[in-house]
Amino acid sequence: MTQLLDGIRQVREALEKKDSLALKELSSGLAGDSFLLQDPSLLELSLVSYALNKFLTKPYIFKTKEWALFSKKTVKLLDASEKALDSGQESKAREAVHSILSEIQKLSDSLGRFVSSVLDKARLKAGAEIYAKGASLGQASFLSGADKRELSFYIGSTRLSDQFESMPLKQRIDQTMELFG
Amino acid sequence: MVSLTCDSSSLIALAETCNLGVLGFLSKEAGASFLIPPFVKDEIISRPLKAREHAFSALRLRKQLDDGFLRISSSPSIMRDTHEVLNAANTLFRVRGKHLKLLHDGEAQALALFKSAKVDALLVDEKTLRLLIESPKTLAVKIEGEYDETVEIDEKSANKLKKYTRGVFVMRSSELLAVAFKKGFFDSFGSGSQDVFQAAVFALRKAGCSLTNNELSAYNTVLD
Repeated sequence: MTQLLDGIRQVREALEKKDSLALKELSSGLAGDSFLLQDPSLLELSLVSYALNKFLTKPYIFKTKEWALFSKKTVKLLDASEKALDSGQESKAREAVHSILSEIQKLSDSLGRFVSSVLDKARLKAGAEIYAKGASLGQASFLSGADKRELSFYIGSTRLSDQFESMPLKQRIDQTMELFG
Repeated sequence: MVSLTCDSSSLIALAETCNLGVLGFLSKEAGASFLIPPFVKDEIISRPLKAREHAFSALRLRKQLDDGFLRISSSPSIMRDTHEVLNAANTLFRVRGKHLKLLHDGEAQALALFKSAKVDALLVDEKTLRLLIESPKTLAVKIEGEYDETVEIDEKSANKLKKYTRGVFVMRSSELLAVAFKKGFFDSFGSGSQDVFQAAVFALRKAGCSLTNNELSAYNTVLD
């Protein structure tokens, strides 16, 4: 719970300061923590943080009336979640975090310029982070909610695979050739 | 005759790079059989068929089943074995006192099927299952680097997992393509077949096959 409370406070502060870099870093950290602690609300907070970062880098979003309303609502929900956690109302706190995702989806649908929403991209980022932390592709896909195929391609476009050699290639190929005759 | 169990990562990479034909090719040329457990079938066919953007890929994979180049395989003990693999793998490492749940159902079942189906190799492109089989300590060191914390290894879980990982030979879709290339899979491209093979391996890497940059470069010469 401490991790979630800290996360909520940090996201709120970064949002109020319009600090998109802090939101981006928070997003990665929260995804990694969600895997370690198996906490779906930490994952959702990671998605929120990523989405806020993205919105703040797009003037066609953050200069609109819709953003102003959304931003106010998001701060309110983060406050509500923090208060609920402080008073031991864990499920209320988690519901409040979850509600922010719906608000993000609405904003993305109304103002976004791309077919895949900001939340889809957030899930891919979270999935890649969880994969980097040691999870399998299937587990990273399951925990982040990212589609397995899309996550596979996303990971393939990074250098994550560079760290995971476990047998010399020649040995693996020689054994393969021997098997197939 | 050679038989392999496949997890979804390798089949997805082959499907998304238009290399599924390698299954039929090796079935005919080398008498190979490619087996998938029920959970993998769900992951690559049943579930994506419900999503419009992935239905085409799922349908191409289903055709492999229909044509007999992929076969669903199971055993009376598959669910029990799958749970044993999952429990062992997902209690193997602890960070800050918390177990890391490394594997999901499909991967665990592909490994469980390897033992019960008595096959020759496990076809898997993603890195965690491969590392758990070949070098769990390498995986532990990587995770330590990521979390900047010590990874504790549970010896009981390690021994339970070894029951399933001992003697497992891991192959990736790139190695499968390499043997197919040697047997003439790309011969229709004439003198350009080597270039086609190398381009196909690069495409597999982009589709998520866990190949390092060194391995990608090595593929340029290792089959000479």
